[in-house]
Amino acid sequence: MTRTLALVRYDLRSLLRERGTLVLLAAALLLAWYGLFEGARFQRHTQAAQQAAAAQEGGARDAAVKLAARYFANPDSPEFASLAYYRTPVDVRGYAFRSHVGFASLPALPGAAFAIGEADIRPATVRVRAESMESVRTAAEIEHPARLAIGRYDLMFFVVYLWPLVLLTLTASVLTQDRESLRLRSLLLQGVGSERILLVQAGARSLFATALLIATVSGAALLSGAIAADAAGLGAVASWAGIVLLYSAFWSAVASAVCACCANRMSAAFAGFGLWLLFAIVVPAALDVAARVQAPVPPRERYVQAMRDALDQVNANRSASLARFYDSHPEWKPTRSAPGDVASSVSRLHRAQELERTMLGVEREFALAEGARSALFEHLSMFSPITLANAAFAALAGNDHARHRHFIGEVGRHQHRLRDWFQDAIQRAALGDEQTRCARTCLGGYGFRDFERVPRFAASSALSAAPDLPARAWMLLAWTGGFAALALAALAHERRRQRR
Amino acid sequence: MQATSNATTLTASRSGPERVWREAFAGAWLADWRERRRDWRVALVLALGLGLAASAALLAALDLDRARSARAAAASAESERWIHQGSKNPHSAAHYGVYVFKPLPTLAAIDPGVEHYVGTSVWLEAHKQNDMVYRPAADSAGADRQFRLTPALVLQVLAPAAMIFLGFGMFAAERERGMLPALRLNGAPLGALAVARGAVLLCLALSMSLPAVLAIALLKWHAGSAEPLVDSATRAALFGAGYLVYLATWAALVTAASAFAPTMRAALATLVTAWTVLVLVVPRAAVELAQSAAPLPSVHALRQAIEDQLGMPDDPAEADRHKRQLLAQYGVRQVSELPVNWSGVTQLRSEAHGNAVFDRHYGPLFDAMGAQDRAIALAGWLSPAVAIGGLSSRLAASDNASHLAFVQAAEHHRRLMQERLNTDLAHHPDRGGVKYEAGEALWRSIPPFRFSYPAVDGAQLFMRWLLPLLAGLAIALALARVALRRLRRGSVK
Repeated sequence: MTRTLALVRYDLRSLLRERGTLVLLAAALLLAWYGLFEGARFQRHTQAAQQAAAAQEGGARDAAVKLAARYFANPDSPEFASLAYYRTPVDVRGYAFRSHVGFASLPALPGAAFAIGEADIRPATVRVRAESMESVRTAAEIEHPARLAIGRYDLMFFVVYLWPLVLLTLTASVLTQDRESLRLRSLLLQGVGSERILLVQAGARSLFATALLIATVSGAALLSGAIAADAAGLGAVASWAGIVLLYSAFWSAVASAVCACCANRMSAAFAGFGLWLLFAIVVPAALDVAARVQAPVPPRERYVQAMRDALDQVNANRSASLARFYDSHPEWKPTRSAPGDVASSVSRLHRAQELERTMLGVEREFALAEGARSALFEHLSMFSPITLANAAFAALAGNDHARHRHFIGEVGRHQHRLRDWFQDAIQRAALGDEQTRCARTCLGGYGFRDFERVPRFAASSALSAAPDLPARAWMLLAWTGGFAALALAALAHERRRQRR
Repeated sequence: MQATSNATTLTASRSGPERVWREAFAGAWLADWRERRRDWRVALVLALGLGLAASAALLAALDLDRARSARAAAASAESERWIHQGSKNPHSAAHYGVYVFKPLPTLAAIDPGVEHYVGTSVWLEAHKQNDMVYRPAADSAGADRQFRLTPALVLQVLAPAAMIFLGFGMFAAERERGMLPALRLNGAPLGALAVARGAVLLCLALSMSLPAVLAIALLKWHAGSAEPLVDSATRAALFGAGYLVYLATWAALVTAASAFAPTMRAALATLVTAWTVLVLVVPRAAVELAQSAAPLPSVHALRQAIEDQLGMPDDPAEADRHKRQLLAQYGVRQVSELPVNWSGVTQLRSEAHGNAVFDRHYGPLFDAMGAQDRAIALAGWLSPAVAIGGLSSRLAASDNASHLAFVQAAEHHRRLMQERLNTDLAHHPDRGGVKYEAGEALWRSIPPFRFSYPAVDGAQLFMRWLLPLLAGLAIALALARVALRRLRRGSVK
């Protein structure tokens, strides 16, 4: 143990004596801080947008309450002379289809600043309308598309793509330099095994650099407020540090295998960069290709056409479907007019439901195709350490695909509640209006002031809970073990060759 | 590393410097080519590169073909649906609307640019300037934060990496093996050797573009003349020239680093660092920093602002004045007595009001995006990867500006539709309490939406991307020249 510690001390001291090492580490830390800054900036913007949405929702509700108070106190006031029912909140139809402002927001997790993940593609705040999920399905935040296409520079990008290059550079001389300078034989004669030199030096250099990265980035995150300095924030920092350690261990093992196999530093640098290219770019791209080829998603143009066909069909069958609707809801059935003659503003939610029912098969087809592609990609991700690391960082930040899917599921259930609520309100209002017709919107008819009772979205506790490390992230350990074994096997082979 | 070294022996003629140079060039080219042909590592790198390039080209070609077929079929179905929608009030037809689909040029197969991240279609209906919807990225499997295999990735990112692999020992190997004195003594101009070796490197890198060229040719053949570009030949020529300059820049950089570095390891480290910074870091940092050039509003703030202004009726006094003027013009006292359809007149007013609101909000938004485009392009002076990325996507019509051109053309078509429908409605008052209904003749009078990307602005193209790209090449060549002078006169170690 003492000998190992001495080896570590000597190695790190000589490493830090090199100006190149210091420059490399300084540059790496600057790039990491910049990544953190961009992640935090994105997170700040997201939170500001969420707060603005919440303020907009509350403001619209307050304004509606005030307007309703004024209107129902004196509907004949001149200020309401040009009131149009379809765009005023005091009429339930105007409120349901136009004036109602409801948002659903995905709560931010404490580690959100660590990775933008897919948050720029899948928005964290969506407008929920009573009529359909269309506004949710097509929701997108305004972003310059080049930013999405080129990719974000965040801490995840730094750690996943750039940090391995730093580790490979720091460890490329382990064993190879001793081989080049013919010092290895003398070291071996002193009883220090090449396995020990390799694993201890590669491990120590990686661990030292990684610890430095974790300490400085965590400190910067906590001091700058990018991560809250509370228990949840510290937990997120600890989880992030764990993933960074796991991922660094993998690249340290790769570096060990490279150094065990290569005769000199040049070959090690060459092989290291080659492996980085393979793991960072080629393998993930190949996985993407495999997922796209093996699990194709039908073109969305077909979805658009199916929706148009369905809408034509629903419009053509309006009378029959309304008759069926009122047969199944006799409590809402108009008493003085035929079901097919109800106003389009009254049957609008039913029409949306019919459209949804007609589109069910197509929706299922797209959902299945998308699910199959996601499942296949997730399954294949075990073959790509980069993909595993990406997934782990995005999950820690709460900006991953799975969490967003969960969020959209909850939004869907909320939207159904909202639609049912408005359906009941509109149908009862239509009945009331039929019985006591009033010249202008009135209470007992379409008049509306129950703004506080309209369902609002509340994210479940599951969406706010700190995420567990994805089970697949542990596959990184298997990869690490595999490369470490490869390194040891290469050294054993070299020893056998030397004996011969 | 034999793959990267070149032991060249030349017998130089003394009959004239130009002839000497030419002979040295030819000899070095042949020697280098022969050596690389024999080297299994070169074969491995090339095979991998070509395999990736071929996969990328094949996949891109299939994707583009599929997307084009789907969009053409959907556009044709929409056109039929519009014409055969039956008799109805023009305003109902305006609400029925049409979907239009963004056309894809063939070059977008090589550089899909922003296509994966922007909507593919937009619904043109009354009263609303809708956003483009159904971004392909929304259907992806979570791979969006990784590199997507496209021919552009191969040419912009992987080809320079392959050039580094194949060329970092170009001169560094000779220096490291102590062969530099021999190289100096053999009489062949070092410039000729460098140009020959750089050219071989460039040819190897260009071979990775062959699958993309083949894919383009196949797609062009399959698509016939249905290309949504008015200047496709110019674009294709500039596209090829741009990539040639980009790869030549890398060939010069590799030559410079290899000639300058004291060891092969140093050459490799320098080049890998340069590649990482220029290809990975600068492009991403540029798009992040461009946010500060012109911040964009949140989508909900923008929509709320639009809805608020749309919800406000236009000036009631002005509306009243217009109404009175119309009544006086036709000498009637009530709207119902007008020989024109008051509803159509109102819709025309309402659309004009809406259009002004949309222009007031979308105009600054598109301007801000344009400002970000310009800010991103400035980074082209720092990194040739940014310059070629911008140039390539602009020429492939897969950049943000081309996307906005489509969005604006679609909106223009929407306004044209509304204008025709509302004008027709205004000219046909309801008779005897029966609402006016138009038929196929009116629907047919609205031409189907056809979009061609505008011709590239040569001056803008030159100033934004070509000039930085050429400047990058000039700097790389100057560095190579300095490095070669050092190789010729400096220390042999």
